[in-house]
Amino acid sequence: MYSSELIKGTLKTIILHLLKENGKMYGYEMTQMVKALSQEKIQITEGALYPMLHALEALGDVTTETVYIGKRVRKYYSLTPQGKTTSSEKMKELTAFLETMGNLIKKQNNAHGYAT
Amino acid sequence: MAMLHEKDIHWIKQLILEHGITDQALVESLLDHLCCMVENELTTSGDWQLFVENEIKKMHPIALHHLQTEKEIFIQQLKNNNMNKIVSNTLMGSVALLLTGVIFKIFHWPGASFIIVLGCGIGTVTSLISALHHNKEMQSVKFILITLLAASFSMGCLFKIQHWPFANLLMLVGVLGTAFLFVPISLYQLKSSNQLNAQNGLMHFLLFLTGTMTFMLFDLSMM
Repeated sequence: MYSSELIKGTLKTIILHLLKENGKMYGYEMTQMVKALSQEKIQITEGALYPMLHALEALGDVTTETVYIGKRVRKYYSLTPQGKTTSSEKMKELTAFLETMGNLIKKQNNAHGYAT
Repeated sequence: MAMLHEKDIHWIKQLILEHGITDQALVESLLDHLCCMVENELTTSGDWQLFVENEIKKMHPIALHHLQTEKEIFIQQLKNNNMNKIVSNTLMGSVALLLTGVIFKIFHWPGASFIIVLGCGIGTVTSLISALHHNKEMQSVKFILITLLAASFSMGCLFKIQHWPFANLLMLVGVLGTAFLFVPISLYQLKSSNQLNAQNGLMHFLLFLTGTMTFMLFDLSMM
């Protein structure tokens, strides 16, 4: 499992991308999907997920739809037009970052004669 | 495990509230999350109440109520990022306007003065708003002071170009304020926080020197 420091920096991008790909989702569903897609290497904690989701809602990147399930409330999150733009921007940024990191590690390994 | 009953849901909600979560939206999110966990991840033989208590402990390394503070910090950070983007784009726009105005002025095209004033005005107002916004976090008068003084000096330069009255006065306020107000305050703050070193000391000395020398060049009778 990857460290929380690594996940923290990409959490916003992960959430926005999930919503872009799947339309609307609720919190628990997101954690389970990330867990399954990453073969349990990435586990989003509730402590990180909900503050970020609520912050994205406050900033207008996501909107919510409330569904009552008996005595409890379930919030389905989906992207707003602004959130779709943010998602694309964040994905581009992350892709470029991963490419740079890949090149950096490759160059370092080549310089030290490690096999890549 | 089968669907939780109303009294079970109420018990989980009370547990969340007992952990100091007062934010209604956060309470609802955590409640649904914990209910989903119990219903999907717990075997029929498991003690669901013990399971919920353990999951709550895992939700935050210190205490659950810290989630509320973290939520506020997240919102503030994201708002600041957005604000910085807006400020940076507006400042770039004002610089572009200013340069366009200068080109118009060089070629004696009409509307040059208006474009220069607009560019300077937008830049100054944006810088002031940005300074006031940052001041809330930094709790520092230093940052807002230097922005006001810089605004005064740049507006003085603009007035000078436009041959408007009080140009020298505005420039003088900027120069004198920087040399005799900003430099001492900044040095005092750096000294009291043990951050004063040769590099920033020299920077402040040069700023003081520039301020006083510019002051000496002023012809006060022209004011």
